[in-house]
Amino acid sequence: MNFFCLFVFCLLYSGKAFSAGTYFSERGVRALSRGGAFIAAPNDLSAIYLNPAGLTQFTNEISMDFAILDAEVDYQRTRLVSQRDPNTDEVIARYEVKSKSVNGQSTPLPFPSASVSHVWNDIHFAAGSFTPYVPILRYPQGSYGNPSPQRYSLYNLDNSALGTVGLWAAKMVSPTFSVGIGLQALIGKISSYLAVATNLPNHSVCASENPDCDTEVRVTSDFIFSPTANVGLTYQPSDNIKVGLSYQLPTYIKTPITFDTQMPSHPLLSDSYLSSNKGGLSLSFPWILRGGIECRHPLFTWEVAATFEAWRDHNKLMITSGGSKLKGIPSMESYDIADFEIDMGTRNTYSLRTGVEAKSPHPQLILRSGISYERAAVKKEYLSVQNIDVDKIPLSIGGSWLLENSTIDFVYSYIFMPPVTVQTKDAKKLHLRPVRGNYDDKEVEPINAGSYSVHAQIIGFAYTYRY
Amino acid sequence: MKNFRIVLNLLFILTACSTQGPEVKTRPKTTSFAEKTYGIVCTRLGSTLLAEDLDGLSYKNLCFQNSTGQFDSQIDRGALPKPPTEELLQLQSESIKKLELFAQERPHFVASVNALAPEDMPAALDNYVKRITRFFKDETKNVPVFTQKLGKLLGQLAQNEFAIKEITNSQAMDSAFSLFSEYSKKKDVLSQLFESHSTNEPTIVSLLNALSHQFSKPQVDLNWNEFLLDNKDSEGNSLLDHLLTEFSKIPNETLNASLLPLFIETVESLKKNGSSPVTNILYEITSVLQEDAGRDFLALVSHLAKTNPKLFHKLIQDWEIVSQIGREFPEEISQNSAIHDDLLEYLSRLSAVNSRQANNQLLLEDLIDGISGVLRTMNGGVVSATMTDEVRALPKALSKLMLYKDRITYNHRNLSSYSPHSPGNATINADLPNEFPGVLVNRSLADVDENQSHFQKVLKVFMDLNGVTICNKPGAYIHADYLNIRLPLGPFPECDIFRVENIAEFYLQSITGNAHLELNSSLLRSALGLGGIFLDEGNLIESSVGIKDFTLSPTPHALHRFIAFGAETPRFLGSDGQDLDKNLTTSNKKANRFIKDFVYPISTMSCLKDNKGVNQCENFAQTFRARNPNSLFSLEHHGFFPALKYILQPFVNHNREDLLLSLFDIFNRHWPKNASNLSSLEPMFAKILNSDLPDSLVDYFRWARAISGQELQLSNPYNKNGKTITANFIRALVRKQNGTSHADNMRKSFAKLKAANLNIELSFLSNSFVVEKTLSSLSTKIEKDCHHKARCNWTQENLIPAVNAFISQPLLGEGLKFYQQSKTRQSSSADDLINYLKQNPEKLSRIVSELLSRNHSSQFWSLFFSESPSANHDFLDSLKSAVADVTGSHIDHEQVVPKVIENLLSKKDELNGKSPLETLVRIFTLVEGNDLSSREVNTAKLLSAFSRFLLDDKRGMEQLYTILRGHSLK
Repeated sequence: MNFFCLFVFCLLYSGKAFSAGTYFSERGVRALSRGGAFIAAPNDLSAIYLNPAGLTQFTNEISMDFAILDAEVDYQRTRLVSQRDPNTDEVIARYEVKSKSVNGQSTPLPFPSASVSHVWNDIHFAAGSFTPYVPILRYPQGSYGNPSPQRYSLYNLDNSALGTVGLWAAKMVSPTFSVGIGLQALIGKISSYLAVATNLPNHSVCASENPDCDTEVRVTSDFIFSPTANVGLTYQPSDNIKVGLSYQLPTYIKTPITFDTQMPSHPLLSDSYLSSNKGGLSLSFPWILRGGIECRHPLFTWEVAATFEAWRDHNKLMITSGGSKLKGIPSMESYDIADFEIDMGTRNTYSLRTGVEAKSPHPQLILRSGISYERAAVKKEYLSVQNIDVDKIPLSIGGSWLLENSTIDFVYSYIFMPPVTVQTKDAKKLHLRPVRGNYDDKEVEPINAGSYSVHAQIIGFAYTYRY
Repeated sequence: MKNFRIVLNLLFILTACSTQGPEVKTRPKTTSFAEKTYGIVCTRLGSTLLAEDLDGLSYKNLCFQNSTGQFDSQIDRGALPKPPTEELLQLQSESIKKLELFAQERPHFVASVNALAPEDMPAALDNYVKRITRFFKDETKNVPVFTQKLGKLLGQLAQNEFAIKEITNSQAMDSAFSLFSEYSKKKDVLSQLFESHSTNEPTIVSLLNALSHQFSKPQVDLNWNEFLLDNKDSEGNSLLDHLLTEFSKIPNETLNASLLPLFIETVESLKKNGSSPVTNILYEITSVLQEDAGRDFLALVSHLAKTNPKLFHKLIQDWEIVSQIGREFPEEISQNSAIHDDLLEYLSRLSAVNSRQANNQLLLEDLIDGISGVLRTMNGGVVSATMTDEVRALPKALSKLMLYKDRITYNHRNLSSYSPHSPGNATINADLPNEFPGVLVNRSLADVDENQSHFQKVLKVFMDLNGVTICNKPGAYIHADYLNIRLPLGPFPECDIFRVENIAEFYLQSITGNAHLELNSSLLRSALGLGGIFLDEGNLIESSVGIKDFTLSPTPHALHRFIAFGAETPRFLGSDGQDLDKNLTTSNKKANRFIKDFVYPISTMSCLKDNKGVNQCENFAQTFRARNPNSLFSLEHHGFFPALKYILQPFVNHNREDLLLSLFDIFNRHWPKNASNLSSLEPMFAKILNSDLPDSLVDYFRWARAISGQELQLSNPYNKNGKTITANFIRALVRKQNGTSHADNMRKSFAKLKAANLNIELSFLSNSFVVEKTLSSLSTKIEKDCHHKARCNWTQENLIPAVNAFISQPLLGEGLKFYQQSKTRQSSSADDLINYLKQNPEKLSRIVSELLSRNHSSQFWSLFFSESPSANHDFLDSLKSAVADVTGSHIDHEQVVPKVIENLLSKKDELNGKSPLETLVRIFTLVEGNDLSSREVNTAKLLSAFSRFLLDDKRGMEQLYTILRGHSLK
């Protein structure tokens, strides 16, 4: 057992992938139960990330929530193969070949949040941590003679742990107007395990995806600490209407990484090794604008909200080799491993949300439900098992059980996601090749074509204590 | 969604948090370097042939051992994607067959690699290659450029149907292959190529240095493609065709024993001394050609080739025949002989004679006239302009004089008869001179006394007579015969009757009819004049002595008899009081009396001159009769005198008989075996003289006389016709400047070659087309570059440096040395290859022609060198230093390359008993070059495959270079 892992598990274990937009639903039990429409006046500690101005909606509280995301991806890869003329070596035909289906399943880890708020001199302070609801998918690793088709995208993200910690403050500027601000930091580590084709391009040594020429690599970052911030406001023009707006600053991650590799078994490469297993990783998360209008009725509360995430400008992921050299290849002194700039294929995205909260016949029970639609942040042609992000419609129901000084929230959400098929002619995710050469455009072999079928559901509980 | 696994997965959390590294997978089993190599090659082949199998699983166990340690023999077809069409399925089947074919060869492949790289080799090889990879990294200068160009060349060959056909059908490939495979026997040759020596740089560096050297020199601006290919004969054969045909004619023994050593010597000389006999010869030739006389002569010869090809061809053919004759005879001129120098000196003197006689011609021009059958009198008149038959008889007559030694004498009883006599007095029919008994000189005996040829004897005659002054004897009487009434006139003091300052010249003059005795005594003139009432003075003497034509203008026949007549010689009696002349002919009393009282026996140069300048013999042995019995009469036959007149007359006309005698003197000095041994060569000379060459020369001079200067647009306006052009060229050739002439210098160079037992092979001159086109091109070039007939330095500034550069480059020398060394080591393959090339010149020509053709020439040349000389230089310079590094001890300290090459070429593997190269090439041919439908090796495919490998920037060497350079082009 890794002590660090235990700590993270206990505190902020997160499956937030380091790829862009791997996102199924809004996080937070109460927020999710309203379909994410919880921005105009968030009245629990979800405010720290949805709209910090919402902290003025309550006073001294301690809150913890856990959600478990169960996600499953069925992927059948379609490979575009070339057939060559045995006499002239010319490519004479290209056709599609379907691989066996693979099933990626999420590790059902709880996504914990913990926060505390306290009012001091009319200023509402909060401290806490939270993790978004992102699946930790695991795919089969295959075996010699039976390689898994998705291996160049991902085996798993085991050991990844990312969360946000921060301090927030909010103040009711006037009876109708509140502002809030938060200083945050993204912390944790990223770990991704996948296969890399160490083969030379264009079948120069062995077949393009010959597993003997694969290098299996786990990329693990050092501890990440990336500061960011958010601000928010709420405005109540009348007793029945509240308006909220928040802005999340971008987050930039730049961290050393470690490559843990198993080099290829092909005789030409079997004695190869990396001179250094240290590198670097940089990526960023976009700014997010959230807004919502809440209407209050004596029997229910209804909110309509929308978000905008500027992923378009955050579609690059850089992996630097740190000057590492590939050594031990016969007849070659060394080969300088190049840096990778990976186009994640992200685009700006938005979501539309609506949720309702109603009193139940039982005075201690409040019922909630919501639905939302979020556009995929990853362009279809870049979709891969590494960055599963498709159009999604989470439908949630939940509620609160009110106790004297505490509240128990619960939620169940099912995320509807249409199956997606990435045609080979459209697919744009290519091999990450540490050994590069001259590529033949006619023989591009995408690694992400195929059909994707994604299912996810979330169950969550939260406990809030007021003191 | 299969199920909801929250609870179960909670337990899994802990597992997920464990540190997971990459999992260890089963590796392919390989045991040895050879098997690894096989696996690598196999997977590459598989990835090519079955590219549709992206994972390579279908042939995985074909290339590597499976879990049970065995290799599969067949493709796992189930692991292959099924192609969408029947046609693709067919091709996939073909690919499967090829790969399985390769797999069947696995044991052979492994055995070959084991032989190629035994246990200790892979590590050393790996280390070595790692060291040299830096030379692959430069994109512009180093090894990649070479492989790229080689790839293009192979690609072009693969597309050339003719070349493919010839390569496929010929044995040349086999020969070339064997040549390489036999290099094991020449380890030292191979080592020399790579090893660095204490005094010399490695050979391979020399080779590259040579290339660099070559391209840094100014080049001759000749369009070689046009020169070689566009010059075609009437049958469409190019000059290249002809050159290769000529190459095929060179006997192997000549090539190996003479030509190659000649080149090697040349190159070595250039390296050591900065000059060589060959380049010196070339220099002299081109120096002559750059003079007006040389250029005009070149134009004349070109004109001959153009307007009178029949004669031109005949001349060249005759020259070839003469060369062949020369090769037939083993005898040689003595090593230390100065005959050539003497002859050149003579020619120099001859051509320098600038006296102009009545016809306003110089001696040389007159001689040309004579050779062409024009006989002029002293006053310039033409006696005969068309008597070529007479002059043509001269060589034939000379040949007989050189072959035979019959004792020809005269009929001393009948001095009016010119019929030849044998010693037995049997008359030989003078009208049928060819029917001489023909007693040949015995070449095995010494060339003395009677075993000398007539020619040798005649030479001695002239030398004995040359410079000898004779007079009538003191107290001489002339027994004048007036109508059979003998009247002795006298006595006359010595020289009162006549005096001949040089009896040899007088004799020559007698041949042309220009010899005249001047009677000094007025008394005698009066007396004879009295007789002249009835007879003229000459006839009176003729009748008095009884020798036909012995007048005051005696014929040579008459002189022969007068000189040779064995008259009594009271002056030189023996101790017994008897006459010492063994040929005493006192039976002819009339002649005996006349001569006995008229003159002493004719002196020779061995007799000292007295105070009057008359040569006086001290004893009989010094006299001509004693020294040259019967030596003169052979000249009376075979039409010798009539023919000789044409040559002799110019000398006489210019009063330069002395020059001709000088020639005889040279010959006389060099003729004996114990001198220059020319006498031994008499049969060869005779054969040459009997060949058509002399006739051809007569024809040439006749033609030249008729060619006017206007036809040729000459440099020298004074060159009125071909005759003067030829004469001027000869003058330019032998004219001395600073004590030496072009011919002298050439001669010295030839002598050096001769001393080194080397000869220049000129057999290609037998091909008139080659000569004609070469001369024509040279003429054009010179004409083009010599505007306004200004002095042209083209040859000196361009041609010579280029030739020097070519010959002096180590490339040629090293190549030849390499070949020579290979020849000395029991190799027959070198011969096989040479023989093939020689036996199939037209095929080789066609291949080269295809490559050189107008459409492809630029591509062809660009294969090897950039159009920019500086780029070439940079490239070669870089390559040179790179290879120097590679081959230097600090890189290849284990001498890996020679060992690998040696193993590759020579080491026999355990399974096949063949060299790795043979086996690997066979396997590669089987797979890459195999046409499965016909089961025959497809050469085009094979070459294409090589070419593709070298050129393919995605899957071949270019990809490798890109990898080694460490960056992507994309």
